[in-house]
Amino acid sequence: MSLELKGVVCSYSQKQVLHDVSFESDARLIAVVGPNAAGKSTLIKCMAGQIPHGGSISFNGTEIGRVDQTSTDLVGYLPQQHMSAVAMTVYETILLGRINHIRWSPSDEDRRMVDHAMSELSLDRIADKQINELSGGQMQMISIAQALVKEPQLLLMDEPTNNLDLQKQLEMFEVVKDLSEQRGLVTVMILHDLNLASRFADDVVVLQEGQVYAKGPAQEIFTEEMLRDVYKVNAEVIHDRDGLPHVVAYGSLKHS
Amino acid sequence: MENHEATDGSRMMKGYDRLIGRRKMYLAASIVVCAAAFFIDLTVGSSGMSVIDAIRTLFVPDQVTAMDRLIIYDIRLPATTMAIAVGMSLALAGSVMQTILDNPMAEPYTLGISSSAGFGAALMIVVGSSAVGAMGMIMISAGAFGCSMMACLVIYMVARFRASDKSTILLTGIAIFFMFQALLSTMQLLANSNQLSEIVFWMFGSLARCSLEQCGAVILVLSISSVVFLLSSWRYTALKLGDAYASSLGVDVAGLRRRTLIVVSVLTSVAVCFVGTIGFIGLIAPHISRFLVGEDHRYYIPMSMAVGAIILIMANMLSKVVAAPSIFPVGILTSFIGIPFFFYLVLSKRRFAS
Repeated sequence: MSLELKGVVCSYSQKQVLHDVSFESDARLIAVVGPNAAGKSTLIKCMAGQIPHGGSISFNGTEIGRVDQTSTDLVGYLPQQHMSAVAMTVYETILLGRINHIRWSPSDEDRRMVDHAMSELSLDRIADKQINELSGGQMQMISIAQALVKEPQLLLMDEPTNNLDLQKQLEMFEVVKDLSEQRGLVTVMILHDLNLASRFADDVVVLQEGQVYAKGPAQEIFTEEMLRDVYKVNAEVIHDRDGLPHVVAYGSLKHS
Repeated sequence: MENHEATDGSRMMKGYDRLIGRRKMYLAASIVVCAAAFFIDLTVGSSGMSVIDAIRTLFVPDQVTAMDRLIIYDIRLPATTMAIAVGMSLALAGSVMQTILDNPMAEPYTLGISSSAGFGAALMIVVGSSAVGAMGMIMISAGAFGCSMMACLVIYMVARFRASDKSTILLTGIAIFFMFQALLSTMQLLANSNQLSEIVFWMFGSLARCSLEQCGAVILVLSISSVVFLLSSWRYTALKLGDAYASSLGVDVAGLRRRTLIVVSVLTSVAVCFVGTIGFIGLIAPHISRFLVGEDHRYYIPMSMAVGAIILIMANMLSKVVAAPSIFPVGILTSFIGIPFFFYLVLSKRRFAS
């Protein structure tokens, strides 16, 4: 299991957003962190084949992320935006994840994949509910299930903890951890909460102005210096009872 | 544990199968209603011909008078066929436009296709007033078709330029609507009283002056368009979840939007150029369809077409009875029939999407 990015560059509406992003990781859960406008979303969109870019991205030796490859089954991608709450049942919504396999009617295999993903994420009970009646946490689980039904090996998530309460955030990480154990899935997710990254990610990539500032386990790269340089905050890194780094921010350095 | 999962699995399957079964039933029922309305419409008219005679003319045409055959086959059949074809075309265009623009108010007419067609027709009525009879009719249709295609071309070019952004498409359509509305008013100002009444009559919409050849043209375009749209059913359904999700599932959102616009342009232009502006069907038929079968476009698209056809046949029937023996403009009636339905949907608890 390895993800390798070499010299990824990307311009977005005439502005260069990514300048030579390169890193390699064989972790199961990789967190991408960094301040606003560092290029996190752009990077994950490049990996998902959503926008054209230069350089190369490969996963287990297979090139991924080309724009003509968006229909690949290797990569599942959850955008940052929420799903529109339309009058569709949970089952129908998840079934759409099989869109590249369905000609007209879903096959038995399509249905089996949906059933499997639904029981994995304990969504069976709400299968026939309409998605416009559901909570944010349930919607998040449905979008994960939708990405899973094509059996991807790499799951890309853009700020999956957005708008989830504390318990739902933790539950989401637990689900992702289970999935990586059961399915051998590798997950790359953009996170804003550094303490969640510290607790759950095996490898953290810190992006700053379209470049990799640091990469490694949180224990090694979460330093007061990094927080000052990248986030422009005055912060202290303490250690919690599991010995994991915990960031306590005191104030912004921008105006001082 | 395994047993539990297996029963759960089959329960889920049943839920989805029930849903699909219900959709198929609604669709089949609406096709039956549509077929029934077609035959009933053929027996209704202002000629004083009895229902029995009308049925005999349909099934045993050689046992009735030449006059009866003329009424049914040359007058009523083209109008009724056109009602089905145009009703389906407008509803089909409206159904996919509401999806690609993610707007419940989108329909061919809100994008200015009706006002541009109206202007084209008015221009021909005023400028080409010397042409009479069949030639005049062809010129009016050609003018309407040409102008609405021009309006669509402008929308398409703007869409291409701005990466198929949906608000840009909508706003351009609305601007075009007002521009052609102004041009149409100018033509009305320039027209003499005969021409003016002809323009107004065209704008009311009428099925009474159609030929079977024109029906053939509309049906041909309708058949091709519906196949094109149905082949993208799953992609349209995915688009309902939002651009970002559709795109993440591998749908080429901008391309789908542009291709749809092109087909919708031709479809609507052909439908309106022969019958004038018949409003509202493209707006409400998709809403009724969504209410009945949901967002799955494999059912939503054909259901919209069936509903559109039923509404226009009903309007055609009414147009022959409300002011008998003269024919009331069908374009006015579609709104009268549609609005109560529409209010019911808007106000009912089980409201459509979002």
